[in-house]
Amino acid sequence: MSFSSISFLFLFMGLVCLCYWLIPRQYQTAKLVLLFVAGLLFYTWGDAKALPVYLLSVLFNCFAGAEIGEVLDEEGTRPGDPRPQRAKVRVIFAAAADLAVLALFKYSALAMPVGISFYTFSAMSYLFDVYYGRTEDRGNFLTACFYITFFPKLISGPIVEYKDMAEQIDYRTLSSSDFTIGTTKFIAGLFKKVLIADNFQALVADISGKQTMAAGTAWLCMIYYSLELYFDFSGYSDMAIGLARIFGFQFDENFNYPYLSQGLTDFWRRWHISLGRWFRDYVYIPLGGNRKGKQRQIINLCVVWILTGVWHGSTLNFVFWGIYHGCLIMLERFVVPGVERWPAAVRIFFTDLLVGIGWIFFFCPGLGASVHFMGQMFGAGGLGFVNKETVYYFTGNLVLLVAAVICCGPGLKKLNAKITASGQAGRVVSTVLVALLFALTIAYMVGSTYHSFLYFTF
Amino acid sequence: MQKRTLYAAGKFAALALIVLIIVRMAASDRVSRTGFSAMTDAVTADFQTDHVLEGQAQMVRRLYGLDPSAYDGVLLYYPGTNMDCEELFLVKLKSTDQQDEVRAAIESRKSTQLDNFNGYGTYQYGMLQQSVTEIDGNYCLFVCADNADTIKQDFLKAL
Amino acid sequence: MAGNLHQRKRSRRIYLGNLARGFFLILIIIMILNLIIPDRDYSEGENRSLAKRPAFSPEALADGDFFSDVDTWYSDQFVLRDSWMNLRFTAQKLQGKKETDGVYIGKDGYLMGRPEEADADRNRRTIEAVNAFAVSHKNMHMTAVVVPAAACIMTDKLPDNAPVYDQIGAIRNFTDQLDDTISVPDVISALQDKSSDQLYYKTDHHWTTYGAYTAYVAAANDIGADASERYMDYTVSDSFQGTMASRTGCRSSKDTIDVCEPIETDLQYVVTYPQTGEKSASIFKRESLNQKDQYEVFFGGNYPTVEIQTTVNNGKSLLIFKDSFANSFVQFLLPFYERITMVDPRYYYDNIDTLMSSEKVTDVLFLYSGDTLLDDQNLADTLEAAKEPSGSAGGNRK
Repeated sequence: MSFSSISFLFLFMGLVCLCYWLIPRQYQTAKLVLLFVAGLLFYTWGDAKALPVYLLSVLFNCFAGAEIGEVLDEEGTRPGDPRPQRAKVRVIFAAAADLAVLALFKYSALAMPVGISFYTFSAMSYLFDVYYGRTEDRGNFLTACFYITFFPKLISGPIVEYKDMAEQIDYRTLSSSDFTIGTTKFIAGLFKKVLIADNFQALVADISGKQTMAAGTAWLCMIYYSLELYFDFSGYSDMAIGLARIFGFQFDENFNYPYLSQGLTDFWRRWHISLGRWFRDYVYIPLGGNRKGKQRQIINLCVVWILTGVWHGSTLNFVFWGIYHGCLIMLERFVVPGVERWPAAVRIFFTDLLVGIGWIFFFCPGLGASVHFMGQMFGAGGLGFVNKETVYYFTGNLVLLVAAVICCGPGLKKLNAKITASGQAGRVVSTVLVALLFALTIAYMVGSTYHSFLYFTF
Repeated sequence: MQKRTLYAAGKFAALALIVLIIVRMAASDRVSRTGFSAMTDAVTADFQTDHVLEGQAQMVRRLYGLDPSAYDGVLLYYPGTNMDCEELFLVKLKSTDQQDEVRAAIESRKSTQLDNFNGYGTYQYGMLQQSVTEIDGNYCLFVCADNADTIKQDFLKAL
Repeated sequence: MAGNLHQRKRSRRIYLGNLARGFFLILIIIMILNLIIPDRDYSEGENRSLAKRPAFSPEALADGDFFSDVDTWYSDQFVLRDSWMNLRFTAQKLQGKKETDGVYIGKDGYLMGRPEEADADRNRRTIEAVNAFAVSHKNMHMTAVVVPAAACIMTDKLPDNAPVYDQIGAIRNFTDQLDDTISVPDVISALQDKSSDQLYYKTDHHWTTYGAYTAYVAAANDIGADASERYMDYTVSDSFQGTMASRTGCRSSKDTIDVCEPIETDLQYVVTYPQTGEKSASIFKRESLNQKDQYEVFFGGNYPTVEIQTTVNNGKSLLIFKDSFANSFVQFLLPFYERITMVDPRYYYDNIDTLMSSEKVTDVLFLYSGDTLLDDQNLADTLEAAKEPSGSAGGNRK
């Protein structure tokens, strides 16, 4: 179930929050149980058919992690010690089983359980953190169950690591500022998703469906898609982080103005941060990272980037996209000298350009289609650079485009902070604007479910 | 020691169940390579065509509300007179996503026919109750006939 | 100074806390309203029945139907659904959007559906079926009229630079392939010549009575009517908001509906709706003007067949294969035929040859909108099915 659907916002979330607040402060365990049950309901709501596979995966991982914890206890292993063979065998077995199930669903015709990529990675983070002894609790079964099924991050991330959440489950401090910060974050995410991303989505579907287009139209399409993807994903992450915060869990940011990055390495520190961190903590560093020489580092980077590509989707496109980013990062690190001396604006421009070209592999259905689309960007359609269509798609969406570009940076947020801090008048203005945007959000959400029955009248 | 064994047992049990579910899912969703004409031959081999007429696209639309061009192949034999209820409906799907709509169409057709014959033709009503609906991967079959089970077996063999 | 800053931060925190509480307050109020306001059965705005609160069953829960039904029910019954939709349209218009949900937001309040690309396979099949039908009914005079979508005719009213699919080309391509015995009057040029007049409704995908009349004048010769026949028009509604208004949520434009009657010819006729057995002395249904879809003032909508018996005595019997564009066209044909039979292949399942011989058909008219015909299968189904014996099992005996 999407956070930006009517029934989530005005039914599920309303009810869950209401129940959560009605439970008195001293019953923290009851609150956790409520969230756990809500998580199960949330999954059933989104994909009831996959519920058995999902539940069994959760159980499998919780058992496997708890077993590893027991093994470590038996061996008396301490955090700094080398890991015993018995634990190693078990963690490899469990991780392999997780990956096998994930791959099976990804590459076969079977219907993919909702959120499988995300909850599998969460589960693996639990296994590894227990194995490396990064947590106090040595793989507590119930804590792990709660961690994997925690619904705000369940189906679209962020992929919070076990070690970052486990302690918060046991020792949570609830303050009213959590509620305030969480709610404002959630609202901002909702606006990003519904008012910006969803509007671009219809537009991109419309344009990319055309066989031939003027070069300018293709570039517009690429820009629109880049914006759609960012606002969709980061809006959703913001909602997840905000929602978690409302329940007293503090997650790190998943996006940090990625389109202001000054280079590809920088971009990956700002885009889907939790995924990058996951690969760094559980793949890149265990493989040796950059500590075993340049040659080994290059191999490690290749592995990480191919895996990153594969994680995003099952087609060859995504592998290619992963390799593309991997190559760019290696070029930036090892080949092109003095990039860091270029002016910031130039670096941002080239980063966004290269990233945008990369997204083409995301929205085209196959490699052939991607190449075809790139051809269109360089005039293969034979319609020149700009035609009537380009002007139409540009002018008809100018307001949206400008708003989206502004929201790619921190300016608006800072401005709002200034206005609301300045005094009563500023707050009234800000409140009115937020209320207006909220009304529009509802209108767009309702609109997406509005189906006038036309065929009967034709 | 005790606890570890318990966890290990739980782990393997959960994994075994996952494998079982996946195997079952795969079995019900496998896509058959049998061509439509071969399948037609197989299901009509034991089907008595005395009481039926072969329906074209319009009849498929009328009786089932389905659009034949949305599928790889559609075969329909429908009752020849008001007093017959023998029927055979075979659909080759373009994708297994279409299973639900075809299943719903068959169910609605069957319940219409049951309504038609309820308290009116007991023999036909019984035959309809014994009718077979089989949906396997990319093939869907509905048969109402005295020997519906034989035809179902022919169908399953041909998959 | 530091104290002042601290105070400002504190008061901002309080403000944000209140904002957050306000958000949840509104959210929960809307939730409660949704849950306590009784469900509506029907949405006027969308012209469809709305989903009801789903019944719970373990099976429905297990296969996911239950919650997807809950989603549909909850959004269908959302408070002030139509008003939210109107707000969305207003916002889109204000931000300069030129198109929403497949509808062009045109000038002067025009909303025009975006024509979809023709389906080549379906077209080929329809053409073959029509041609085969023409060959096997050589004794009848046949005419085909295909009406382009508003966006292809009233191009002045389109938003600037709108990339509209060339439906006129597709229609010409279609009619060019028809058998030579089928006459194809150039209705498209006639409509284009008058494109500054209101040929189509602003808020509906249909043509206006004037649009239909323009086509009638251009086609009269071919269909054996007389273009010089004069009609009196009466405005029957000035509050029509059609399908395009429904789809976008626009409420600001309204249309008038006119109907026509011949001035000089004193004509009586009986309209029969065979499916219901209903008879009427007029093709207009005034009561339809009280409902959302006022275009149904013509015949009350679409039926498998409609039969009209007139007092004309010339032995001519016209069969029309049609979609709803014909409903407002038939008013001009009444003085020229003894019988008119309208067949809507989308709902028609019987044998067409049987019908044709019982009605002693002498003339055939195919009257379609491009939107329907270029994506249609039903016409070919009906025409081809004439070759097979009609079935009898589908009727419900109850």
